[in-house]
Amino acid sequence: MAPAVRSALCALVLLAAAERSCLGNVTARPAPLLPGAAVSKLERTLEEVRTLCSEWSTEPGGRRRIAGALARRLETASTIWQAESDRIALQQRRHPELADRLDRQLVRLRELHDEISTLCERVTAPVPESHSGPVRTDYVQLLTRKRIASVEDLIRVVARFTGASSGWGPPREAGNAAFREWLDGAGPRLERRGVVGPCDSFHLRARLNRGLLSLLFARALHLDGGLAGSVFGMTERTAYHDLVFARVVPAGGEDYPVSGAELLSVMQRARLAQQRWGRAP
Amino acid sequence: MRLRFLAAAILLLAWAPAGAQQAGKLTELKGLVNCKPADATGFRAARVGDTLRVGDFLSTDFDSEATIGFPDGTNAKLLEMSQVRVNDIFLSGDASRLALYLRLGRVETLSPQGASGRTGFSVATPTATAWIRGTHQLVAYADGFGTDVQFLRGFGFTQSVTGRGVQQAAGQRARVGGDRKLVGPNQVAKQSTVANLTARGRDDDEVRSATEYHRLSDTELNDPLSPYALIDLVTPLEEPSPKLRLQIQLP
Repeated sequence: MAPAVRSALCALVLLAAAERSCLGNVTARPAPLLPGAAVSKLERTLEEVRTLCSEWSTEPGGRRRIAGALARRLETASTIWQAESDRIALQQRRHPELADRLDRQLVRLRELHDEISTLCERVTAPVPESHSGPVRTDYVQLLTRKRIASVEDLIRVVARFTGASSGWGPPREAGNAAFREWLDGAGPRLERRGVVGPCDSFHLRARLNRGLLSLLFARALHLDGGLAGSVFGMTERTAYHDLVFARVVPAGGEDYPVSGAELLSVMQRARLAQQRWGRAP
Repeated sequence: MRLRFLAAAILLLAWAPAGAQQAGKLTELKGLVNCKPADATGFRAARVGDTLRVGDFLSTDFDSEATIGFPDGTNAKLLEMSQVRVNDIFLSGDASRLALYLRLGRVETLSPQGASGRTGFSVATPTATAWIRGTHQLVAYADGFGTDVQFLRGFGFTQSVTGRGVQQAAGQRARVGGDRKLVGPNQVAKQSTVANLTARGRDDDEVRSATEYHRLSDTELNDPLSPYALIDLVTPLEEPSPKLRLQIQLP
């Protein structure tokens, strides 16, 4: 074989090898981008929406601003959801091996988007025309339906009973922060009235029993607990027995849980006892 | 037979007078009063002049009152922290029916003589029903305590949910406790008898202690430690109105 032919054949082989390697580079699949950033962005948006919703019930004056902010968040969430869902569909076609993982991300994105849009719509929904006034959350109604009241309910009721607060406190939807803020105002007034002591600590979410209920109402009614009360101080036990005898609290045991309706009944009977005894709380 | 009853019921319903009133109105409000119409899902602030129909719910807040006026002159005053539902209203020239359901709190009803005389005006609670005949009465319901029915004028009838009933005259009081047991006027009078045996000029605490903490019915007969030495406490149950005979030996 002539040297020229041999060199030509070598060149052809090298060219083919080079072409194969180049084609390989062109057809190599790039690693797909998972929508983790979009998920965290929607999670942040959801947190912002929740905060705005809590402000909606506590700041009736700024509702126009909050409604605008909610509409912007909803628009952002919808844009992210639309773009990401299209991109994920494309990625699933290109990378079938990642289809399950991408599906899970898609479901999470949809959940976040749905939650954001539900919250925004629920808060900014107009009042139905069949009602002639704005619909309000009646705390008394909510409390009546509760099978077991909490210590937080007792604090609200006693604050109302003693005049430490002119209302029932912030609505539950406003969250813990709003309740703490309200308590910062009502707490010192309750302390001045002798209903709570400086060393008292309460677990607000704990279920309420008749002993604690009696103790706070006995203090609100300025009962001294008789001889035992004046020597050892008023305890849940002595307060309970005193109020059962005065027919303010129903008998049945100081550890017995208190329902919301029973809490309201006790408040009513304490009011009657207060009128009968001629004592202001 | 059932079909006959059904047909008779349909005929009676169809025969109802066209001019019958089936609504009451809120005539007076004090404080915060909420109402929920039967077809609505939420509460709204009630206003004077609002119409209440069957199924409507009314709720008063702390230090609040509401008065519902009915066309026959009957008034129902809902006192503070109370909840009531209108169960039935049918008021016409020849027949009247008015029923309230008291879920919680106190309602004071005042119906003029002759009003609702043909069929009746009633206030039902979870444990009892009080039937009124042209009277002034106070019905209270508290969870854990039950129902307390007091007739201030006229007369009426109180029935527990177990079916036991008692006739009440003016000034009498009956109770149906949380255990649904009916306590008649004589027993209630005996349970709530108090005697203020403090000397004149004593301070309020002593008077209150004597009247609230020394109920005679809670005092042991011939108790050597009792300063008042209650000898006998008798309520003659056979008499229609409670008359107590007390024998007290003062120290």
